[in-house]
Amino acid sequence: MELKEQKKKDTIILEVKGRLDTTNYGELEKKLTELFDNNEKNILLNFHELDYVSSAGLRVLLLFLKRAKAENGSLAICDLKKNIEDIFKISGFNTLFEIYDNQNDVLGE
Amino acid sequence: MKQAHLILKNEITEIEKIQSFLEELSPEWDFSGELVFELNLLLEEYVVNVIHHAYSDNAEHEIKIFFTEGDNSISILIEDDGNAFDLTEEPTLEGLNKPVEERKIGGLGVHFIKSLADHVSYQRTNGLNKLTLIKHIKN
Repeated sequence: MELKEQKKKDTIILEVKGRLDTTNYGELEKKLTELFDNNEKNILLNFHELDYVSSAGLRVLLLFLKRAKAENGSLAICDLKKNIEDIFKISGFNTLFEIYDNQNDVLGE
Repeated sequence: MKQAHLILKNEITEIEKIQSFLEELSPEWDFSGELVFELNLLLEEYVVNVIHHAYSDNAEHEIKIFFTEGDNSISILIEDDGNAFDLTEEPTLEGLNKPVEERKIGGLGVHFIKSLADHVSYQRTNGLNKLTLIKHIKN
């Protein structure tokens, strides 16, 4: 997995690339903890190059969606590939998260 | 009838071998990208569960995965010598439509296995857990 971060307006866009699974979910958890602890609580996860996710990765997403709600932040997701979108549907995450087609829809560009 | 097998140790780093094994198998067995994704997820979720929960000791164990090609389906038998665990008896995950504040963190792994496999059966014989997953192949 590779993480790439950039800030646009007051939103942190975090690209998550490759695979998010049992072997590496801790890297995403660490990055999101750092951002939230630094008061960066408006986060958009861009999944356009995310190829695979398992329940270990989804667990991290849910943890931080809960934290965002509790701390008046936001955790949105954009650009899901078909396989990932299917997993979101099976787990009910498609209604839990704000999901956008691409990051411009979120940033209003 | 094609057959193949993969043997993993009970260490989390072994999970990476599932993906490489499926990708190696894929051209010969004519797997679609979607099928590789789903088989990878089924196996990761179950094997992680075994590694985390099945063993009471700190010894090395083997988790054996046997693949058999059927008529428009693939059958996967997963064997481990851990404590008895019947996934088919696990309760169905509820609360999938609950708001985020009430959503529980755990339970998704078993939910994925039950949702993605077309048939799941379990046997306990000779001290082994034997889980069989059947996945239909769409043409």
